Amino acid sequence: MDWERWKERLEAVLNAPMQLTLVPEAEWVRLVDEEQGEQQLVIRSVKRGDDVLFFLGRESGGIRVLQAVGDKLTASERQLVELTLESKQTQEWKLAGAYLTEDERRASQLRSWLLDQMERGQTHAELPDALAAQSSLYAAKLPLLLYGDYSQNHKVSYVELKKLLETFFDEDILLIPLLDKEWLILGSENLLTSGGEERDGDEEESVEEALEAIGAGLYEMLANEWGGEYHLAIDYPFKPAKSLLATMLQLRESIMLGRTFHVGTYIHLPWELRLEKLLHLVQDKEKTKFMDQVLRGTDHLLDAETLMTLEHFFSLDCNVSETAKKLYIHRNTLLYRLDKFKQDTGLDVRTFNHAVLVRLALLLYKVTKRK
Amino acid sequence: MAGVRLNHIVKKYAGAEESTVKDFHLEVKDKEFVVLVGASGCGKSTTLRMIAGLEEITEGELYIGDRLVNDVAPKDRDIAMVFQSYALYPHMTVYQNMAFGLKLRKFKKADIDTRVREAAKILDIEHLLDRKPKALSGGQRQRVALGRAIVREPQVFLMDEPLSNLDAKLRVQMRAEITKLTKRLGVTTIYVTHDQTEAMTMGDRIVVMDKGIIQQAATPEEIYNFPVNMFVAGFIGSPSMNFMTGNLVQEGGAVHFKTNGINVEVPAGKAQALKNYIGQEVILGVRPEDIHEEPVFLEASPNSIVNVHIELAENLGHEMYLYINGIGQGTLIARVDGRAGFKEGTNVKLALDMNKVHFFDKKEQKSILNG
Repeated sequence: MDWERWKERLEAVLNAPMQLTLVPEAEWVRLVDEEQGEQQLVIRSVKRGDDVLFFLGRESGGIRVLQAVGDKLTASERQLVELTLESKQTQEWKLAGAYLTEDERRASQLRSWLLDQMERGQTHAELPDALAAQSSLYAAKLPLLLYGDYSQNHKVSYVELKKLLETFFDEDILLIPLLDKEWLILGSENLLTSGGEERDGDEEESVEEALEAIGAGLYEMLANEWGGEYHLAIDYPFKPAKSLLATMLQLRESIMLGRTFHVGTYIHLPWELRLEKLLHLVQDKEKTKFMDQVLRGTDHLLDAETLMTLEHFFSLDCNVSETAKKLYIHRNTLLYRLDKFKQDTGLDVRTFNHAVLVRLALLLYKVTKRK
Repeated sequence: MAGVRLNHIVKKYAGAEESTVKDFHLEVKDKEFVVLVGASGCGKSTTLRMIAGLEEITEGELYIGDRLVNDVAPKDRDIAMVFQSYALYPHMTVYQNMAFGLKLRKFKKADIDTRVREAAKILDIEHLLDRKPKALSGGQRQRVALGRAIVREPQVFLMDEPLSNLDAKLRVQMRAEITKLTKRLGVTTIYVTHDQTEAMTMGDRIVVMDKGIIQQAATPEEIYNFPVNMFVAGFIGSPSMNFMTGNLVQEGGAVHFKTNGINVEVPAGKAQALKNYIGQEVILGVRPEDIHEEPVFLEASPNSIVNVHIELAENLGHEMYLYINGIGQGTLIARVDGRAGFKEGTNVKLALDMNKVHFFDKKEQKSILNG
C-alpha cells in the first residue's frame, strides 16, 4: 500500500507531524498489552508516551506503524485516523475485486452485506433475495467460522484456502472472508452424515458429536497441512437466507467466549459455552465480588493440579471413578484431593450446591486472572 | 533427515506477565528421539508448537537441519505432527485420511498408493483401509494418525502427548510401538509428555522442563541417577525421591548427616565434595528403592541404619511400599521386597544406601554432587 502518500495527506489535514516507522514486535506486544483493557480482536492504535502508533502491518523487521509524534491528536482525531486506515484497507481490497473470480465476487458481496448490517447494529437481518439466490443460500448449510491467528507473513489467499477446503470436504463450499484473518465457511449439510457406518456395538452418534468431529478434523488438517494457529467454531446446520448474519455473530461470539474462558482450546462449540455466555454478561466488579464470597481468599490454593482435578471432575459430571480413571490416579488419591480442597475452602464439590459454586468460580477465576 | 536446533528461544504471549518459554537452548541430533517432559503448564507443548510453526517465536532462532525456519510457513517446514486428540478426518476412509497430505502435495496416485499401503503394513492396519474413523477403536485411530504422519516421510516427527487419550493397557503397547517405529524409520522425533514413564522408556534424551525453563537435558539414566536439582530429582521416579533437611557435621573423622531420628555416615567420596557444607543445613534425597530392609544390607551398613515406624504398608505382590515416619520431616516412602512381610503400626530397622543418596543446597535446591 502507498502509505507515504496517505501519511502526507493526514499530516496536512490534521496539522500534526507524522512518520512511518518500524517498531520491534516485542515492543508492540507490550504496548498492546498496556492498551488492551479487555480482549479485542483488532487493535488499530496504541499510545507510546505522548505518541500514538497506528498499526499498518507486520514486516520481517517488526511492525510497520504510522507514528503521530507528540500529544497532537485528540481522541476523535485518533478514531478518525483509525477509520481512514480501515477504509483504505477495505477500498484496496475492493479495488482488487476487479480481478476477482466469480466466486470471490459473490463472497465479497456477502461480506459487504454482513459488515454493513453489523455497522448498523443489526443482529437478525434476512439476506436479500438477490444475494441469497446467486449463492444458492436457501438450502440448509453447515456453518464454520475460522479465525487464523497467524502473522501477516503467512497471509492466506482466498483462492488457496478455498481450494484446500474443497479438496478436504470433497465438495463445493462457500467461503466468505470477513475481517482480516476471519473466514466464514458454509458447507453442505450432507457432511454431517458422511461419517459412514455406525460404530460397532455403540450408541448412535449425536449431531453434536458429528459436528465436533468435523471441527476437530478440519482443525487437525489445517494444523498439519497448512500450519499456523487457528480458532474454529461450528454450529448446527441452518438456512443462510434466513439467518446468515445471526449465525455468523453466534459463531464469532463462540470463538470470543472460548478464547476468553478456555485458553488453549481451539475448537469452540456454541452448545458447550452457554454458561460462559451468561457469565460474560456479568460486570467485572460483580465477578470479583462473587469470587471473593465463594473462595473467601483461598484462590491462591488453586494450583495447576487442583484446577485440573476439578475441571475433569466437573466435565465428568462429578463421577469419582471416571475422573480418577481419566486422570490416571487412584480413586483414593482423588478423594484425598477433594477432601483437601474441602478442608482449605469449606466447599465440598461432591455436593450439588457447592459443585455449582466452584464450577462458576473456576470459570471466573480464569477471566479475572487473580493468580 | 535432519537435526533441530533451538537457539535461545523465548515465547511470551500478549498480555502475559512472564514468558511461557524462557531461553530454551537445545540441539536435537539427526535421528534422535528427544522427550520434553514436565508438569502441565511448564511450556513443553508451547515449545513443540513453536517448532511446528503453530506458535510464533518471540525471540531466538529455530533451525531444522541447516535452515533457519522462524519465518518459514509451517507447511513448508517438512515436519509431521501427531496430536493428543489424534482427530481423523471423519468423512474420509482410513486410506483417504492417510493419502490426503500426499494428494495435496500432488504426488502421483501410484506413489500415494505405495506409501499408504507400506505405512498401513507397518502399523498393521491394512484391513482397516476402507473403514471410516467412526468405526475404529481408540487404538486403531491412533495408528491411523501415526500413519498419516509416516506417509509424509518428514524430516522431523513432532508428537504432542499422542498416547494420553488411550487406556492404560493400550498406552503401554503403543509406547513400545512408537519407539520401534521411529527407530525403524530413523526420523528425528521430538515427543512431549507429562508422563515420566513414557519419558524414561522412549527417549534417547529427556528434557525436563519447569516454568518454561530447561531444568536438565540428558539421557534417562543420567536424569535418574544424577539429577541436577531437586525439581528433576522429585519429578522423575515413582514414588518420588524422599527429601529431608538436616545438618552436615564432622564426627570422629567422618562426615555425618543428622536430623530428626537419623544420624548416618556420609561415604568418604561424597564427604569430600560436601566439605564446604560442613556445619550447614543441606537436603538429603533418597529414592524409595535405596532404603533397604535386607538383613545382609543392614549388617554391611551399620552407619546408615535408621529406626522407623511403619504407618502404612502397600503390598503390590512383587514389591511393597512402606510409608514410614520417625526420621526427617513428614512421611517417607521405602520400596522393599514384597515378601518382606512388614506390618503396619510396627517399628523396624532400615538402612539407607549412602552411596546412592543425593545432597542438595538448601537455598538453591541444586545438587551439590551432580551440579
